[in-house]
Amino acid sequence: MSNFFSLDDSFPVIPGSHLLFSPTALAAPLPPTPVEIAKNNARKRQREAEEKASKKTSIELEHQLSSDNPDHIVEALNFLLQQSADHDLNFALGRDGEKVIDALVLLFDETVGWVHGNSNWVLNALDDDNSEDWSLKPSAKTWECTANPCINPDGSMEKLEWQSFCATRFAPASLNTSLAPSHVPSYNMRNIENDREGIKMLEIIIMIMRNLSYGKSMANSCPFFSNGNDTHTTRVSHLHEKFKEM
Amino acid sequence: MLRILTGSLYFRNFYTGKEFRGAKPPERDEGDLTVGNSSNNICLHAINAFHNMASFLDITGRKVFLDLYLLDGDIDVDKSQTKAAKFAESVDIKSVVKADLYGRIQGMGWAGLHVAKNFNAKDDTLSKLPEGLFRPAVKNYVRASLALFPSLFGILRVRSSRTVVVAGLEMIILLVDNPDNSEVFLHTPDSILAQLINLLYLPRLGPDSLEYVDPIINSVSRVSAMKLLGGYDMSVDYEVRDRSVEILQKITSMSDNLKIRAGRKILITPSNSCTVDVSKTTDFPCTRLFDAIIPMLTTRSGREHTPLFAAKLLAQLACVEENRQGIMYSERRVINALSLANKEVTQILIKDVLKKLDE
Repeated sequence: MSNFFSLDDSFPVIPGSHLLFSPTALAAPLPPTPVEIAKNNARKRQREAEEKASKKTSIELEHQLSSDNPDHIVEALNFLLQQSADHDLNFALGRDGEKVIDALVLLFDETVGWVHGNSNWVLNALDDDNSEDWSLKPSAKTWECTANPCINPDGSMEKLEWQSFCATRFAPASLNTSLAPSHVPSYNMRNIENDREGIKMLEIIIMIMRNLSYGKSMANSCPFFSNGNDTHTTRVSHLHEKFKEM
Repeated sequence: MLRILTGSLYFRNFYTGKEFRGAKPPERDEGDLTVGNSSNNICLHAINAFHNMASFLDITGRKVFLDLYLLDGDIDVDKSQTKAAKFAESVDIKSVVKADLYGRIQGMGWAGLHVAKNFNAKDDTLSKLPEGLFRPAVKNYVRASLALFPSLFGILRVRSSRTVVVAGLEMIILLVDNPDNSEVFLHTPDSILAQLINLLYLPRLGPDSLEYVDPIINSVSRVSAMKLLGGYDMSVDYEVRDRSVEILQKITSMSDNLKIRAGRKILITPSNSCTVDVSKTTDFPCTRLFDAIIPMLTTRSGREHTPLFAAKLLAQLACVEENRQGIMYSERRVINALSLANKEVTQILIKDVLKKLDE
């Protein structure tokens, strides 16, 4: 059987085809006309104005979240949720971010009906500064769960500590869902008109915090998280942000 | 912040959404299904936030003290006073530590960053600080960090949201991996150990599985009797199993006491209190644990390193004399598993498990 092509044969090329694929044959882009330049500049200015309008400082966000107008609160929450959920932006709270966190915490407290702030929590378990304070040293008591949902719908919520308060608000009569069907609405959340809206708001607040703790923004946001209870200091990683601004 | 995240961990009002397929209550609309459902709820979001913050949580308080020392916490107190801040307890570290150069690091520019990073990395320097020096300044933070742990048991007992259980296990893995937390995990209660052992074998389908939906009110076509008849790899919920065995292996490696307690049968009975169960350690070997470990040695489903973790866990249990009875209980099946297990697992089983019986 004879070969149709030998090695000496040149590869068949369509005459003139090299011009089509050669980089030099590609037409150079024409310079933009003055009209196009003006259009591009207008678009650029518009984009910058939109970007500027979409940015809110932490102070502005804090004011909106603390506002009495529900629309302002919703606007700030939507902004934070949208920005923090964007993977490309790596949104971080930056300077004065602790004020936004404080406002979110306050909003959470108001929604859930907690009026004690950070008091009446584990922070005040023991006030004396002696070295025998068990609550500072890891022990078997560290694991003890004292939270107990108040199953009496008319029971007073004011005297409950924070964990029990949350358990009463969020858990359906029992924290142990293997004993009780957990899809039954809790006593204290049932038959309340604004329940669903309230839970939605709580969910959004926690989602914002979760989003802020993700990715690169974590380095700048987590300091507020971990220290946010009783101090407004920032962690070492946040120093980077501060020094960039200097 | 830690307060509301910790509080969110007590959320149990999960809606699977599937119970509405059958007899749907007229007073509920579709919007309810998106609120607090089993895979989108505040408990899960809080767990995820803790997951990312695990490396920042510091139950010793030394790192927080360092931050307080390097940066002045009260610089902008007047400006940053918000409604929430009024409730907050402010710590004036200057009253605790008398130092002229306190809080000057911000004025050092990049040199300050260098100093801060070096301080952060050198834990040896921090560990030399006497506890009496920094504890008063950071006690509130330490208590707030420790408040996370009591909620873990409840998360592991959740039956109606598989996502929450898996995320909770992931969070515990990160906490166990942090050496600062080892002191807490040395005091792991029996109830947590028992629950982790229970999670070693959970069926993927059927009434004992997580997020089980009653077929009387739901027609779930994917569940069939034939599937329930499958082998171990088909039937086990391997995502929960893999994480549980990893945690158990890491916890039991911390002390002999934990090895002994994990190897003994722990009775959990429902208590009158509706929050927690009473656990009691007996002198009998925990057959459920050994029964769950043996098939894991040769499993082909789930993570690759699960057989290795299972073998290491078995080896650790064999280290203590008190678990001899349990190892003898599983000896024959361990020998059977040798032919199917990989080389690394086989070596551990022979050297660290079977040889212990001859000693």
